[in-house]
Amino acid sequence: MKEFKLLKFLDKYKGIYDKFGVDYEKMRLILKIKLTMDERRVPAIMKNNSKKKEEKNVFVKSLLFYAFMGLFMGIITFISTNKMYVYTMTFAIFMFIVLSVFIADFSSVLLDIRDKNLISIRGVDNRTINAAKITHICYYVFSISLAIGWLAIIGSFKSGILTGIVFLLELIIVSAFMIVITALLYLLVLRFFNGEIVKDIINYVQIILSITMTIGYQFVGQVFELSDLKIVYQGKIWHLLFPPMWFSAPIYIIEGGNLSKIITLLIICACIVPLVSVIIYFKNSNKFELYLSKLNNNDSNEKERKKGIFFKLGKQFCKSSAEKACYSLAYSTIKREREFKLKVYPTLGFIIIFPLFSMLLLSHFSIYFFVVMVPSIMLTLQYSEFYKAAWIYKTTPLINEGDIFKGVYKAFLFTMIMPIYVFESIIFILFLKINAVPHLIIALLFMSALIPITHKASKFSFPFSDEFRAANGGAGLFILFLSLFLVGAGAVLHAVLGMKMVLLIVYGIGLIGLNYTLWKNLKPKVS
Amino acid sequence: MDNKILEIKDLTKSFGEKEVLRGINLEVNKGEIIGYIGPNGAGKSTTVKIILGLLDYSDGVIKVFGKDIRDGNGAYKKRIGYVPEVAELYESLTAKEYLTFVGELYGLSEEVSYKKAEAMMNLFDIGNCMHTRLSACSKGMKQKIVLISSLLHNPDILFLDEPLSGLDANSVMIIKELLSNLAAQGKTIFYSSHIMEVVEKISHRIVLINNGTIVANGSFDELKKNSKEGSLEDIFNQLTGFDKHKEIAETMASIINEV
Repeated sequence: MKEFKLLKFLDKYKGIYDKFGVDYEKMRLILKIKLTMDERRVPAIMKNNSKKKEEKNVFVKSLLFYAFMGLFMGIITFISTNKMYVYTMTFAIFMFIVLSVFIADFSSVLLDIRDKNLISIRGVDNRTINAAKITHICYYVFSISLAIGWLAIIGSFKSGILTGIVFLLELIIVSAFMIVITALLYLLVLRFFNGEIVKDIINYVQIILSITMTIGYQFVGQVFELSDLKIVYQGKIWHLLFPPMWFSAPIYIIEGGNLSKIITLLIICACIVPLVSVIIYFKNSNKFELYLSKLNNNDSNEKERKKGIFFKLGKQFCKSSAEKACYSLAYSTIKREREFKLKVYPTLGFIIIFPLFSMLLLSHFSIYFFVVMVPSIMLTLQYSEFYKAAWIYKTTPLINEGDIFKGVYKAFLFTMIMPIYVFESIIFILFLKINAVPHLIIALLFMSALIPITHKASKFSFPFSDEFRAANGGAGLFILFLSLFLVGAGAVLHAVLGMKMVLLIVYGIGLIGLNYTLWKNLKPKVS
Repeated sequence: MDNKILEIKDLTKSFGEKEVLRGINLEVNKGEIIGYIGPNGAGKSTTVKIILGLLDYSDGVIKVFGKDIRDGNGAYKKRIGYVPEVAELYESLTAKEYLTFVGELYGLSEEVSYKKAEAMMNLFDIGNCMHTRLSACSKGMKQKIVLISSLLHNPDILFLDEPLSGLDANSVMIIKELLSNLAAQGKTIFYSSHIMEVVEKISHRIVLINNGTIVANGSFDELKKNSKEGSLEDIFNQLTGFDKHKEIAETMASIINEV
């Protein structure tokens, strides 16, 4: 373990901790352990390209990444239009990033129940443990804030010393506000729900974060065009509901804006709300510890939920009992396993949005942008957080190992891909009218045939039997090229045959036949 | 000097509506090995967690080393060693990092903790795992590390909850021998387990808890005399009012045969 700079820095302020009755040496020790563990943890934002090489500096790397994002946010502050809009946007982006990062990466710190079991039984008092927790969280949030806000801070000082100071001060308040808001959010959720739901909420936030990051970059350019407009700020009462507005109001005044009634109210909000939330938090922080023990409670009975129509439809296509069993297994895993969802759902968001961009240009053919991604998602079916459980395939004497794959692929097609395909189709039909329907059906049949073809062409291991790693680039790339080639060919064929309705119908019947043969003869390709 | 190390009076605890402990009364003397047994869900772990301050309790008095545990800021815990049933660990740390951390929490210096931990790990034959991350350790290795972490600071009371789970027969012998050794030195051991043979052998006194109350408290010989049963297992069955194991097993066997 190395010595951390933070700890050396804190050593100078030992007196403050002593004054609050904190056992400084113990707190320092706990912090040291926590920081060591954090170095070995991979932040959600870096998860996609995490190779298991050196563990060091993951945090520093993610800070650089945040600093890069801060570049886009910071540029806004150099625009010399209406400051109210400029800083509202800055704070909105800032709050969004800090809050998401915090929920995605530091929930584990906030919700760590091991602390109680491991540390408090060693005779360390709660005050010291809490001091360590707060210091730990503040350190991270403030370094992340600084990484994101660096250019914006420069920009604000360029506008004026006072603006800069107020902006800096507000960044600190906003960061603290975000910590408290997250904590209160958990307090609320834990109050009413059990631990499993809390974990699900964290999972969904992580997924949304990934999607927004991916899509966000496509829009950065457009954001700037919007902000070039020279608008005079008009106070509206609903602005009070929009926290970034509270914090930009003081800067607006410094920069020479008019002090209207709304602006005054906004400034009051900026001062009062964070303060009140901090007070509420500290009044309830004892309960927090109490509710936290809920996370450990495993009395959460999964409710036997009603299976959806897609599930029932897909099950009709399963024949042997082994196939049906694997179908249900895959359905539950896809729905429930958090690690799997974190890896796959962002891509799903992507394939919903991507075809819509090109729809107006390519008409119904842009649905093939959807189809082309399916083999890549299929690749992930091999992986699971609980990959070790796959021994069960080996110890059960299944008559036909192909049934395992059939069941899982059918679950994949019917319960994961179909619902969003139907959703996508509805949007297509709304824009392209009813004429699009036959084409969408053809693409669906093609997509369904693509699954066994991909399986035949590549060497997949048993479903959910391998560890999530940085996707072994080779196989992923191969599948992507294969699918680009096949889907490209399919789209051309569709375009040619689509010129006459009769030909299209014949093509459709041909695809159904193809599907039947391919799925029937799906065999394992395990060495 | 008072010989009583631990005193529990009328301890009750409820989780919401459910009453888990319904008036526990217990006194433990210095140098005793107490076998704390009972069916699943009887309240064994709950009692231990309450003594360690991991759970709050509804009513009653608990005195450790003659002092109420609600007084003071938990300093008494420095003289306690604890092996929980399911030990959570900071798994991204190495064995060395974890053990020195625990030692330092108890107030030992880093060097002393390391020296002690290393010596014990060598004796347990896991010295070569000193720099392995805990996530990569096997169940038995982790259990040994948890045991070591509970002993580093030379505690006066040990609370052990299934301490032998995952250990091989040789290590089990070491631990058993170690426990009687420690008791002879005047340390108190609170041993809770489902393996009756072990409890029968090592305990000076056996405390049986059922439905949140103590239903038996005495040496193995005393219990045997009272219940006229031969083994602790039989006594356990009798006192917990369980005599259907044959019928249940028969029904199960017939269900298995149905397919």
